[in-house]
Amino acid sequence: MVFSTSGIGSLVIDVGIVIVILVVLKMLKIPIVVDPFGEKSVHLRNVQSKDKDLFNKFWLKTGREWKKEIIDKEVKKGLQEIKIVAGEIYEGTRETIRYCLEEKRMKVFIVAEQGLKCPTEDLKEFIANSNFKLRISDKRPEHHKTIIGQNILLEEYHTRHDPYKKALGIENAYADVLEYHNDIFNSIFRDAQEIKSDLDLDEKTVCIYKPGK
Amino acid sequence: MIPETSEIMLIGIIGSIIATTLSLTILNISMTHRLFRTGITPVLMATLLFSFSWITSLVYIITGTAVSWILELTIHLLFIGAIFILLSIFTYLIKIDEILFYMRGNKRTL
Repeated sequence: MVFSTSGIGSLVIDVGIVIVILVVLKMLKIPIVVDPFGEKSVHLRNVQSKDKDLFNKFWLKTGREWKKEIIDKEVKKGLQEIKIVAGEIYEGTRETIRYCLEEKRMKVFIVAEQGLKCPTEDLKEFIANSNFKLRISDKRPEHHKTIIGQNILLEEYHTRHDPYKKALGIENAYADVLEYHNDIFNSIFRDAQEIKSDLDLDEKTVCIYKPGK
Repeated sequence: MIPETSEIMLIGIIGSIIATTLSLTILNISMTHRLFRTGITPVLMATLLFSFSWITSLVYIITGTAVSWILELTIHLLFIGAIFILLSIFTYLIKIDEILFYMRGNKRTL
């Protein structure tokens, strides 16, 4: 008898064979868990929600950290632009924009809703940079996202007064997923009103875009 | 009661046919639907193992009881294949949270 078909010995042999096969697959770099959206997708949290979600605080990266890591990685590969669909330009988005414009010298294409919730000084500073392309959409974009090369950060649906709590970061998204999100960005960006100078903006702490200007 | 060799043989043959058909169906779904792509590697392994079990059970029918280890090999292949099917379900459960999150806003790409 080569094998024993009964008893714990048989079970141990079978489980052992499974483990050996899994190790071989790992050595051959064949993924055992295939990501449905890209090379790797992870849940992310908003830095502002850390006090509320203590559980997430310990095991989820923040969206900002993830974006910085990905930008660093992609800039080394030669990426020169970042696309953002946002409702408002909150602190996290401002930090990312500043990082891209000042430290990485990247082009930033951003489309947002009227009433940006962004301090005027910051916005003027961004608009003064020729690499910053801002467009204002009449309709609030439902799903906010950041496209960094082949990587996408998708924010959880949130209202104007409540920042997102969770996001999904997709690294090296599959071509069809990337195409879908790029198409959405392009259509919103195409239909939105271009802001060419700070004259198009209100002089308030929270900038309100004046329609018709 | 210990089942007779012929009964085990019957279980082995029917089991391998059912298992192969089932795993091929799951493999087809995994290849066509993004949601089920997570466990494609374990499903592929299970399909291969079930296919081998089908071959070994055929060999057993042809050669008869003289090579009873082939029957045991069939049962082992079926068992290991079943573990891989369980593994694929587990991989799906690992990713379910992210899949549901993505589904909420982007059903068109699924």
